[in-house]
Amino acid sequence: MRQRHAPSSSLPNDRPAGGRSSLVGEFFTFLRQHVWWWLLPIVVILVVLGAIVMLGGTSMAPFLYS
Amino acid sequence: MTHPPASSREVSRPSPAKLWGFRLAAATLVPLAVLGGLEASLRLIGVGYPTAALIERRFEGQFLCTPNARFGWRFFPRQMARGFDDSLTFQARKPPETFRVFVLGGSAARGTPDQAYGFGRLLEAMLGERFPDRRVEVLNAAMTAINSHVVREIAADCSRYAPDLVVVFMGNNEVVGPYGPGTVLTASSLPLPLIRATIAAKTSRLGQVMEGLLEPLSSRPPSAKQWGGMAMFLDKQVPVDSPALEPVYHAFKRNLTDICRIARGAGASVIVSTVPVNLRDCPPFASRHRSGLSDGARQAWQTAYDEGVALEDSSQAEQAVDRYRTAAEIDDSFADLQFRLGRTCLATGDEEQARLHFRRAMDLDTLRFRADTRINDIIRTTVSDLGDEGTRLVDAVAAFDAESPHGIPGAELFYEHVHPTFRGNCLLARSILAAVEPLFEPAADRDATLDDEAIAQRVAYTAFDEYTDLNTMAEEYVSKPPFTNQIDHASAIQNLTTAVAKRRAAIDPYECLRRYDRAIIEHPDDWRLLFKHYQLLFAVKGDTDLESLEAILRRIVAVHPYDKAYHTLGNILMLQRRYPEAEQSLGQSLALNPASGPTQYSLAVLCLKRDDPAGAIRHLERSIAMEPAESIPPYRLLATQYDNAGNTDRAITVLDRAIDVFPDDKTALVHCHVGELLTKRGRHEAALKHLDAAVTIDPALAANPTFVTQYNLARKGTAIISTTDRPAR
Repeated sequence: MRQRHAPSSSLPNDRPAGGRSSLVGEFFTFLRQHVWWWLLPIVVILVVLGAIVMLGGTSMAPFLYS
Repeated sequence: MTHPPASSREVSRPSPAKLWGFRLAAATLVPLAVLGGLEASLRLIGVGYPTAALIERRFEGQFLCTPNARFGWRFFPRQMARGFDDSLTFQARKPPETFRVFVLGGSAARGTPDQAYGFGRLLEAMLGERFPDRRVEVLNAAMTAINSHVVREIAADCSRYAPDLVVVFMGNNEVVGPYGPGTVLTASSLPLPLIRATIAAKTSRLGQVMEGLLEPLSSRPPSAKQWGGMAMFLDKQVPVDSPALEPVYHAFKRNLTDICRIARGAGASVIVSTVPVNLRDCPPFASRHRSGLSDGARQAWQTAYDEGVALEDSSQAEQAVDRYRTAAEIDDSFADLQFRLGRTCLATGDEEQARLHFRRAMDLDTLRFRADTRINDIIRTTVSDLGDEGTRLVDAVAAFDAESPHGIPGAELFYEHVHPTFRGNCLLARSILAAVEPLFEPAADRDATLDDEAIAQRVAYTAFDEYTDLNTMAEEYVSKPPFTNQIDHASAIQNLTTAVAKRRAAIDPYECLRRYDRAIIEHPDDWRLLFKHYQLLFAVKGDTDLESLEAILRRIVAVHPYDKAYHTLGNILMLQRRYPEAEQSLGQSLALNPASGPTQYSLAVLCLKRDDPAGAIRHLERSIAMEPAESIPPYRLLATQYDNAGNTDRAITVLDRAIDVFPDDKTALVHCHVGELLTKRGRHEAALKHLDAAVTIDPALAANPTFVTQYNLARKGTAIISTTDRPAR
């Protein structure tokens, strides 16, 4: 019977780790526990996008060109 | 409360390296995935609009590129956004042995007032004469009121379709076009990286959604009637020493360099032309004194200037020059003064000085609607700096100077400030042709005559077209602000009116038709020639020869399928009461341009002919939603349908929208219509206000019996109400 050894840096709940899926699992757990690490960049990007769009405004040439 | 032992906490934490890896991935990959997914979802469900200049469509077994009617939405308010010419439709895969040319630029490159006689079309005709064995395709991707920021985007889109040559003719709108300091809604020039970021942000659907959400927070663009006024123009003056100009020149150079590189990267040769403008017969639009001029100096300046004007008016040019020079010693930065100096120097025979003063007047003009000397210098140095054999300069400024009386371009070559006449466009096309010819093999047919008259015959430029074009420029441009601010505007309008009347009197419609017949025999597949022939035939014969009109249109769509041709064919079929065929043709028009407001309007008319008012309302709502500022008839027809359905209030709301969208001078009949509906609803005072507005806009209505009856009805109603409302004694 093959035994899997949990690494010393495993996340809470002591889920089996060591494979690719466990790394993804750890990452998702991290995302759940540290929401601001990904939510803040999204908010910042959206705010910057909005600011850029607003700053540029909708320019228009005076009504010379009918 | 129990706490996990310290050792357990340590075990549950990832190593610092892994933790930072997670943090980095969370801060980059996750936002990328979320925002990318959001963008993809928005595109999938059809939120937002496509931003490419050209849209590929399958149409009757062909793979065509058609102009994107919404391309301008990123750069202009939607109600005012201009589009490409409808006919910018071509095979996405370039046919073999075809030499494909794209023309890029603003309205002068587009050929205003009529693209059929713009330099692009004339260049195509000239190349056809010189190289009869080659198939030359000149695609005009110019758009009114745009500048290099927009042209750069168009160049990138066009470069995907195998161009052999890109002709760049731009520079008039750098200050007044999108993101320029003379633009209405931006206080000053934005830095170039921010301008590009804005354009890129609006390219994403996410950016478009953000724009829509944040729109209520932004300052509302002025309505059409607000932005037509002279006051608005005078608010946006940019003097020659304004710090806002330097970024404009910098951006122009960067954009022009990019455009050339994009085109070269696509394997095309590039021709960049300098931009000639009207110097002699176009006074400045606005002038300003230099800053720091004291009141005393200003008064002395004004006295000398006024004396000069009086002397000039009494034909004493030399004495006038003397007084103007006295004024110039106090302040030589007033554009009108330089223009008057140019005019009087010319009258005294001093051509060299006249040239300098006219050019300085143009450079000092604070409403910068013309490419100034610096813009043209940048064009020359940019091409030279690129040091690329495939990028050539055509110095159209020098060509126009050489062709003009006294070496100063004027009314012979321009309608007004920047748009060349037929002769001007011929000259421009010939100048470009000389640079294009070396790209062709085998040797050109040098015997082909390419003088103005030969080209006029080739493209069937007739007295009718001459009249139509001049009349369009007089009515749509010169009679409106900012031209009204030019010195001697009243006499200029008088001269123009006389010239228009003279040209109208010179039209022999049957001779014009004969010219078309001759040209079509020589070039039976020239769809532009055929469409102009259709227009003239319709103007001359009206709907008395619908079979001939249909035959012409069917030939056009066979040679060059594009939405306007199918739309026009649909209308002609409708006039013949061939409704199923009309519906099919209008459907083909929509297949090529689903955003066509006029086609939706025609479909509404078709519904009414089939006694389907609900269908008509549906198409009219779409017509207005798609192109709100296209024309007034959809609003009036929709109001009539709502009124017929008993919903008069909604009809009034529709007409109110039209009054809000269109400039005052076009809304007289809309006001009449609202007046009529308000009278019907018993709101006589409001009705009278609209009828008064109508007659103020169009005084001729006062003699119209229907209007007078309507007016009396409203007035009578008001009188009845005031009698009823009068308190009892």
